Amino acid sequence: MKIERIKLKAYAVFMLLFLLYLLFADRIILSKINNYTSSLYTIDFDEIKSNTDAYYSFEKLEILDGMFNQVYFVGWAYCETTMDNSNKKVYLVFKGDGIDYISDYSLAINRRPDVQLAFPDKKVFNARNHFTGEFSTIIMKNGSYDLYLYVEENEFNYGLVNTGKKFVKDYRGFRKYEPQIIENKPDIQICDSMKYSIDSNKSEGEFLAISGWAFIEGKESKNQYIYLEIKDVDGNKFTMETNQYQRLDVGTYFADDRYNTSGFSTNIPLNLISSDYTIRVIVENDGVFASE
Amino acid sequence: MLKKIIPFISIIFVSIYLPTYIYTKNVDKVLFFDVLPVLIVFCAISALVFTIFLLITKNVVKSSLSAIIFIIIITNYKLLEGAFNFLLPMLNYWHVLPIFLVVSLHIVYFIYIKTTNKVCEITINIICITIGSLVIFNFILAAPSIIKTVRLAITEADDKMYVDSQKANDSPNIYYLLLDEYSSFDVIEQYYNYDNTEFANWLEAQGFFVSYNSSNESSDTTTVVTNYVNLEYLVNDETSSSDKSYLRKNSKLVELMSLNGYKIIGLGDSMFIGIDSMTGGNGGGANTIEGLDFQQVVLNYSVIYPFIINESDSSLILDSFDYFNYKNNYADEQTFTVMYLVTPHEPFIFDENGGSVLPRNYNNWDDKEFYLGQYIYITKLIKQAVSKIIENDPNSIIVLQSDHSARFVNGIVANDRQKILNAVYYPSKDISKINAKSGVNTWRLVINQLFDMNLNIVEVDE
Repeated sequence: MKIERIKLKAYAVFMLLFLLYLLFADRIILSKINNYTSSLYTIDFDEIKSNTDAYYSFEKLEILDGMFNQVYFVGWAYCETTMDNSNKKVYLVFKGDGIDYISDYSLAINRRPDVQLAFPDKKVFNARNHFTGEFSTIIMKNGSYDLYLYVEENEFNYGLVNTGKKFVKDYRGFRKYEPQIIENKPDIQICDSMKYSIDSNKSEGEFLAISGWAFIEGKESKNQYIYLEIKDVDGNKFTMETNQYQRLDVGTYFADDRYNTSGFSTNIPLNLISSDYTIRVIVENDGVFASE
Repeated sequence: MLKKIIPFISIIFVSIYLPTYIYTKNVDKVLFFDVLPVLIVFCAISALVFTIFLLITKNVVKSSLSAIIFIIIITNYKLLEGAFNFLLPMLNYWHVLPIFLVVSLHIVYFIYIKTTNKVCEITINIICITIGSLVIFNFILAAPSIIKTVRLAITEADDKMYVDSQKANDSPNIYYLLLDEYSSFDVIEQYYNYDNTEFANWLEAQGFFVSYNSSNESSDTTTVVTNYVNLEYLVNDETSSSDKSYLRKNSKLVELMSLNGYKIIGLGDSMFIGIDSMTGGNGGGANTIEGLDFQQVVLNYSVIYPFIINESDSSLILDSFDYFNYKNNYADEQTFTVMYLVTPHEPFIFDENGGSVLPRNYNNWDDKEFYLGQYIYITKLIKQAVSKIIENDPNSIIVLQSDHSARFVNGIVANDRQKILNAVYYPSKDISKINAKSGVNTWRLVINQLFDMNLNIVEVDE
């Protein structure tokens, strides 16, 4: 009887300790997180100031997962400046629905002399354009996020740019948002001043990967959304969202920086496409849907 | 008899269910030899769990039922956690795993104290029939594909024999191993205080000529590699990226090899020079879109998934070096195998023993241990690959080069950045003229010997 009572007490203590562990597990684990990875910090997106255009490219943006749902990234970024940038900083900013996050500023900045060479017409101050780092997404709340890049060359030139990349955090973890099929757009206006190109159109696994650029002449491409309407010979159609990104070569070619954000890409499931189909590029700008 | 072995069969069925399910759904892409190690490991873990319960309780039936519960959690953990997180998304691994363990221990306790052997036997029989049927059913559904894959393999082997017998040219196979940012012997000693002489001596013992003081015209990979594969100083650091890219992908070296009947094989990041890679997602076979192989996919479902970092570069590097371990990859026909790997260049993902590095140190140039660790590990992989090439193809030519040394180590001067690894194995010819030559001129001398040409030594156009 006495042994039974001791067993019962031991069990009660064990369960109590277990419940206490569950209660404080986050504090225990997250207090150690900085030993293993960089963290994100909450920020009010509207407080981030910008006075110069930022130019960038991500060469790698890889979700490593792991215990802390880490993300690793490499790229280059700059704002035009003619002043010393020895304290240059690059931040990743995630704009969410109601809560925004910013990465640690201590991203490694290394030399990328080729960036200077690639943009002879821009005021790229020096070769310090390469950035890289990693961070944990563990503290992010579930929701969808737009990724911005904040480049601070110095106290005089700093810029915030929407990378067009979207992410989702949910019970499955942190992942890239894939463009979805959406309702067909009504009232599409025929627009002669729309320019576009489909640069690549090839099947990759179970998807048709399409990329290119599009803009409406005279309009800022930062404010636009690009969709693709796929139509078969019987007239059946559906509309796909796209990921949008910087295409500095387009802005350079048309000698107008307003078209720098005209790039798009999307993956269309091959099982939705018949053998004969047409692709129509639709640009939404200022609430108007336009196509050629 | 059957009654006695059913508990053991049930454990085996439960432990192999997930790997065999994934295998049978991808039977045309995955080799059974890739599945076998996973099956063995899962069965071994299951045996261990069962043995622990048996030692504690001395009851075979109840131990097997308890083991099955734990095996389901171990092998299918991520699926179970996903379902759990669907209901309680705020919980992390460090919450869910202890909850599963505590709940499982309660169930095990219930099995031992409150359940009769008869009930346990019935439960095990149901599990055995259900899971066993699913495993067998999956194999039956996949049988046509399995037979087709085996037939295809036999046909390919026959074709290979036919090609071998038709071989008309005795030109040696060529293996070009190009390692990005592999420091020269003196740079690694001077800046990292690491004596790599043992590797140089080993290369010489294999028959390599090692040029210790080779240096290039630039430390920019796009410049150096473009010039390497065009056999002359066509571009410099001022040339636009798009022009360099075009020249790399339409290179004279590849054209020359093709014209002379060489079959071009790419490994690693060979797309950088316009060659489809066998291991870079352009023909490598059994990898997911994220670059995971079969074993990684299965382990990613298991309880150890948070400890697996899905760094795509590491599998690319390991798969590329692994290519040289397979005898089938040493065809007697003329092949020019180009392996370009962005390593020991950052990210520093390997330590000196091939272990993983924390992602926060992937680009840590300040602490020298990270570049050096990766450098040492890559050296080991080079030695293994070279050994295999010489063992399987002793009359081949091996060109082992880097494009520049470590560039971001503190205090390195421009001239030292441009120093390279440069060694050539050409068993039937004297290749000592490559001594102190740049990468471009080394290739010109190799080409001269190979095709009996007379390319001059070229200088950088100032």
